[in-house]
Amino acid sequence: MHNDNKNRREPAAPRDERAFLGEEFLTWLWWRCDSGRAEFEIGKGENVGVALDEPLLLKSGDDDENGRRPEQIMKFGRPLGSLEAAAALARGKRLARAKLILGDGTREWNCTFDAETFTLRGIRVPEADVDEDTGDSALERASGFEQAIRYVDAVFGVFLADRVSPEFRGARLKQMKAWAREKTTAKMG
Amino acid sequence: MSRFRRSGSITRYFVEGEGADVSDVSLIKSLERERFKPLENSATETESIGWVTRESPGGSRFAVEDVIHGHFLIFTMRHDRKRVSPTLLKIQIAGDLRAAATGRAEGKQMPRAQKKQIIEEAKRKLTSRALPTVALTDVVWNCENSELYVFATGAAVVEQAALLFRETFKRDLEPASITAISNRYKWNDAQKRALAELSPFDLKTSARGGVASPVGADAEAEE
Repeated sequence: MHNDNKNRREPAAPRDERAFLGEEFLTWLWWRCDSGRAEFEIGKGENVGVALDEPLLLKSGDDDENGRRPEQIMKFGRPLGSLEAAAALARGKRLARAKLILGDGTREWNCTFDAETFTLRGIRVPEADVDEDTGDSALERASGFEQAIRYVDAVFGVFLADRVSPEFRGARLKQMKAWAREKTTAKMG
Repeated sequence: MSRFRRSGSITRYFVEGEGADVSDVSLIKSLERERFKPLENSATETESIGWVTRESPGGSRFAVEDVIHGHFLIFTMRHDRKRVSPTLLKIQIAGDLRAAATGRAEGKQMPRAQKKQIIEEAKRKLTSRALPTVALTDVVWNCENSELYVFATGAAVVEQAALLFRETFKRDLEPASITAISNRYKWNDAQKRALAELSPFDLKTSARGGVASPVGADAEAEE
């Protein structure tokens, strides 16, 4: 493509009608982590563990009078356990971005997960030994990225299965609300 | 150049159509057809986009072992841009116009066509001397599951890479949005219906500490 296409761009993708599920997923992961249930069976005997860390971005589900969603960035001082974060949850904000740590028992991946776009930013793959048969470090690294994406998709699948279940609309949402409330009262108390 | 990266930000697409055979040599030929062409000392071209490999960043070589890695095709979009500083251009034009006006009878204006020619010549002169800025964007085509990873998150760069991929391989791409991802799981009919009817939840609690009404259709189901 030499010059003639320099100003051409892909048409912008339409707004994702289910974008809210990304923030719900991250908020659900936070609840699972706090409940000590952040290890997931993802089939074929595989397990993946998830941890969250700062910096956090919490966003309101509703627009303000200017048509923007109020947001709050939190970093330093363990914000996941802070009163400010608990209060933001209790006021209806959802976790929109956080550092995501994935582990499968032998390897660990770090990245920032942008929930609204389901994007992995700054992902770092574990340094693996180069495949002895091929000596191909590019293959190892590409496989590392693929694996991280596969794990995130698998855990998202666990969330979605829970989200569409009748239990979610009943007991689960109550459990999560109780968790948000307890986080606030425990910190204040 | 450096080895394939160990870290980065990824924008993902689903590649539509039949799964690609990683050993299909026509894929490499397609890359070669859309190879990067250097601007070099061109006085008129200011931008060039095309494929290269990490091992051959000039775009002159697409060795099979550089592109094919297991079930992945790994290549890089190179985007060169020449930009002449507007201030420098103004200075150059002013100097050239002054030089051309020397010897002209006082008060006599320069013909418009000559002035235009001087301006164009100044642009050409500076463009041919300018060095391009070079941007490299890695792309990984996972031929096993028909996914494309573009190692960038800026909309302009990502869209440019997607456009070049489409033109190169004549394959359509679907952005890996949450809707697209959620449609790829195997759901039963009840789950499909529930997924289609989902509305957002929040964890708002009332001022007294009780559970406030949740939002949307899910909330109604909860009652």
